Amino acid sequence: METCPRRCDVKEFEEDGEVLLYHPLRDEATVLNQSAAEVWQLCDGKASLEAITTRLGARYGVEGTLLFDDVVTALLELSSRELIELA
Amino acid sequence: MIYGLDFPHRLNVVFNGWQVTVRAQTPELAEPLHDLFFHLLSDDPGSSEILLELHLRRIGDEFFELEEYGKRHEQGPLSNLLHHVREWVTDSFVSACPELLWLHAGGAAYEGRAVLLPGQSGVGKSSLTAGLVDRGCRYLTDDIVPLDPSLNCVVPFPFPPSVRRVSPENSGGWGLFLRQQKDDIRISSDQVSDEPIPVNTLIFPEYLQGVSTGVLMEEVSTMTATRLLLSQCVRYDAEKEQTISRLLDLSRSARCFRLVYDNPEQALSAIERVAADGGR
Repeated sequence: METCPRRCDVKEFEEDGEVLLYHPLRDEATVLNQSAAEVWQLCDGKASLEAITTRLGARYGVEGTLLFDDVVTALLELSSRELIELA
Repeated sequence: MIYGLDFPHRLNVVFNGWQVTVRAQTPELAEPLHDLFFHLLSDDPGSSEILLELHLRRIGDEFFELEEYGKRHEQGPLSNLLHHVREWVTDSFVSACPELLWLHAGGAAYEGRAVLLPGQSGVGKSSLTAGLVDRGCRYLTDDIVPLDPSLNCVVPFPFPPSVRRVSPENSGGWGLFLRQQKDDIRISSDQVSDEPIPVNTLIFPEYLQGVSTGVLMEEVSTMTATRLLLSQCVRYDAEKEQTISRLLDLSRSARCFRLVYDNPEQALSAIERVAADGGR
């Protein structure tokens, strides 16, 4: 079964492409740069890892596979801060 | 004990419509308290409500006692007790004014616009703030800054700047540097701002020995500034989301920089340059 990352219930503030996420249970604020924010926003619980990389690749005019490692890194970082669920 | 008789030297410390009373047993004890609260004293506190009443007395040759009657007391050398007085008085004003946003920061007014230096202990907030005042800025605060979030203004909270005598590289390590006794610096009344000042520049200082250029000033994004401000909030009585929104508004209204330095004079010149450039 494919993993479809889903955003956790955190408070989101956006400004100039950057996103600040506040996790109330961890009492922790995280700032995402523009590319991390784009990954975060695609984590809707329906899009798979492959779909996310394909969409980002289309947005930037490159093969999705070229972005695979960066997207995985971003997802793992978001997951480690409990900002997304990977299940 | 009849406090009015045993502690005849009374100081009324007033901030934002609230009052703390500090009573000293002798003129020798009243003098350092007077210096500590100089810019917050009032001979006529009017109807301001008393939050806290403290008493300071000598109980041995070099041994003193600070007491909030029936609640808490500390004993020790005078310098330690003055530190407690400052802390207790600050805490009581912070608790009494939850409508203000309280941050760990130094602050000075450059041509009518506030430059704030938020940061944890040891980054040089007080030394840089005192340096800015030396260069003609008006003093606002040195360690804790109250902000009126509806106006994005700093409310002056002018305890005297309290600085360490020896720099980190000459202290034998960071831990020893932080444990140094601090000295209060006298600032005259005409160097202190007496009205709220709008925030124009946020500078997050970081002392780092061995910065090759002596100073590195780089602009940071609104979001990064907001996160850094959040880590310097003294307390959150309001909802955290509301606090973040207020800090976001503050960051939007100012230019925000990260300052890495090991040369304070160069750092002060760099701060003056960005303050002179103006905010948003």
